[in-house]
Amino acid sequence: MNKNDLFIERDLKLIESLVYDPSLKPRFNALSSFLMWEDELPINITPNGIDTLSALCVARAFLFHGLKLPDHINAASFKQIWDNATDEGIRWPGFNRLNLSDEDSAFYNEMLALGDKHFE
Amino acid sequence: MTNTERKEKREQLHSDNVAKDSLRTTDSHQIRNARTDEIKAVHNLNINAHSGSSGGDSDDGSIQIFALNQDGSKKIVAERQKTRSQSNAFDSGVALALKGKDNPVAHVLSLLKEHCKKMLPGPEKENLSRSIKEQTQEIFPNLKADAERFSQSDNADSMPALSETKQTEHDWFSAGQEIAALPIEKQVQIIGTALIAGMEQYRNDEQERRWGAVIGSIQGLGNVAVNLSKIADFSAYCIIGDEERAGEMAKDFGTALGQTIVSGVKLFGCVQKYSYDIGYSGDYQKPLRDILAVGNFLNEQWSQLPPREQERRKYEFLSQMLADGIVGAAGVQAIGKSKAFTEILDQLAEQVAQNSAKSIESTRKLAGKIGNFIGDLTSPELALPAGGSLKPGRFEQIEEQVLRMAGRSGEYIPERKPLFLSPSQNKVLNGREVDTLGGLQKLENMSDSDLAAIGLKRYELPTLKLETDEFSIKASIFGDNKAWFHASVTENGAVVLRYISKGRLPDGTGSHFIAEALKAHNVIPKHQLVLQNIINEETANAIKNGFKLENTKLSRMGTKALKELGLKPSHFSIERMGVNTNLVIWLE
Repeated sequence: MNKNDLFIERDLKLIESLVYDPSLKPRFNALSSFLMWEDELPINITPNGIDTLSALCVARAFLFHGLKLPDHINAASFKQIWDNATDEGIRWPGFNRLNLSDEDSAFYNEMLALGDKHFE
Repeated sequence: MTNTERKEKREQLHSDNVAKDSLRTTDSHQIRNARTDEIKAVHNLNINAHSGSSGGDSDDGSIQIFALNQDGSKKIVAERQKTRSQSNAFDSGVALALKGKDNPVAHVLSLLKEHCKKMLPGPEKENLSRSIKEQTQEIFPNLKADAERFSQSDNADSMPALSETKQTEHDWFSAGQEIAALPIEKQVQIIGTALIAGMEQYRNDEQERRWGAVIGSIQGLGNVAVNLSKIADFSAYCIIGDEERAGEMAKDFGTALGQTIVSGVKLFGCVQKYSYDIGYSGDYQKPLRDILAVGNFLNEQWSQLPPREQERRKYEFLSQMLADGIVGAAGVQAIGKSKAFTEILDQLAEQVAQNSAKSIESTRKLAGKIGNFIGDLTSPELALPAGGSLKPGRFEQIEEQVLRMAGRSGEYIPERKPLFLSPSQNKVLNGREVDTLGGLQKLENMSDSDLAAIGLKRYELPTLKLETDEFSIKASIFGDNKAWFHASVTENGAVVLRYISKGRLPDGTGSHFIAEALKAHNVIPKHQLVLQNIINEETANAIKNGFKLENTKLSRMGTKALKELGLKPSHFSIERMGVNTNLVIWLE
């Protein structure tokens, strides 16, 4: 699998033009229980591109940030996407955020603890 | 779109192309280019020459379908509607045409009305007819009375038939000029309706030409509409990745866009505004999206040129325009500031519109020059003056099932709703809790101090910050960077919600946030609301244990949001798409 199997050329160009900004604070996606930073999602990316980036966020969340995946989720598929993206050397700012700062970690744990209250 | 659907679509397009191949023969070109006198001469060779009215000219009920009764007698079950003779046909269309002699708005509307009559029956015709009627009533409320007055006057018999007006080869120019002279809101309405009507006519005309039955019928506004349709069609072939067909169409596309600009129509600005105004209501049509897509395509191609090359091309073209007297020095400066290619074209249209005195020949040449300027960007390779060439990125094949967004940006003040907050719990009361306290009416009538006495205060959702890009609609809350909403809309109108968090908003506001974000972008889900990539314990348990999906908090949030939009779920299901597990809320 190469870069273009994960992203079409147009999306890849957008992703690789993103600039990592370590000062940003994360947002929590209540649907998928992962953190995402504003510099990780380019504008004008196609929905397929967004879905692949979301898959990378899910993989990062359970591989590095401590998310426990429910049984119905196939963790291996997400890990496969992560491995392909890193093997191909895709330059995505999200690869710089494998370790959370104390502040971000506290925020993430608070969000996860809320569970379904997010949907009230 | 599934592979099967994609294949079917390609096969359909292939079949259309095969049909269109028959239009590329020498004969068909001659037929297409035939002048009116040549056509009349051919008609006159017909020894059974006829007026063209099936069965006769007058109210003779010439088309009748009848059934035989049991006794052998005839019973008419359908017949051609009897028409009034022309001298008595005083309707709003005639009055509109009369007004059109000195009123450009009326003239454009009368041309549209005439065009509408030629369309095949169907929803497009009905939509256009309704739109024309509404615009006519809005702009000329006394038209009916005028029509009646005219019918009683001596001028009635000298009224020319509408079809006799504006039948020249260059009507695309005059009709386009008249559109460009309208206030921007009217331009937007006309361009939008003309584009939709034009696409229909374009397809019908191609078919009719194939049959050899109608020749040279597209005139005036029809030509403007067909030009718009050619632009949209080119884009459609690019999007599906049919490079061969797109390549064949590139020259036509350049000419069509050149003619549209020469007539002064700021096409891309107009279509963007039209898309913005109608949002994702049922009237949002594919040709509009195609025009937006072609604008994006041109901008992308343009952006791939090095900045110096962009400037060189721009000023080389502008110096030609200056030398030809099409734009003045101020115009060159205004166009020169434009960065996106579509901005350059719209600015150019504005400058051209200001220079109204042009001969037909000069407009034709100008359209050609603009066509060439545009055409460079659709070439497989862009030659550079210093040698070498650039091969711009292929127009990526983008999944057709996704709408390119034309949502809204800026601030949105949510609709005021009677919400009551319990500050101690940071929670907005739900319906059941409101009922427990005596009902909504009672709480609404209470003063702020009375509410405070029972631990409540009125609450309003904060102002939303809206953003949009080519494929997504987004919303967040000013001052709360944790709250976000991110969705897209599929071809069939389903809304796919990908990211949602209410951030620091009180509990109980999630559904309001979703509903207001959708309203703010003028998006009303059709068929489905899809909650994408669900990783959530409660939903996981419902799936695992076969519980009713509608009872999960996630489903209830979706249901409440839909209810605020006046929609009701019919059922809930789980779909697995790739690695994603999605909750689908189906709509009644």
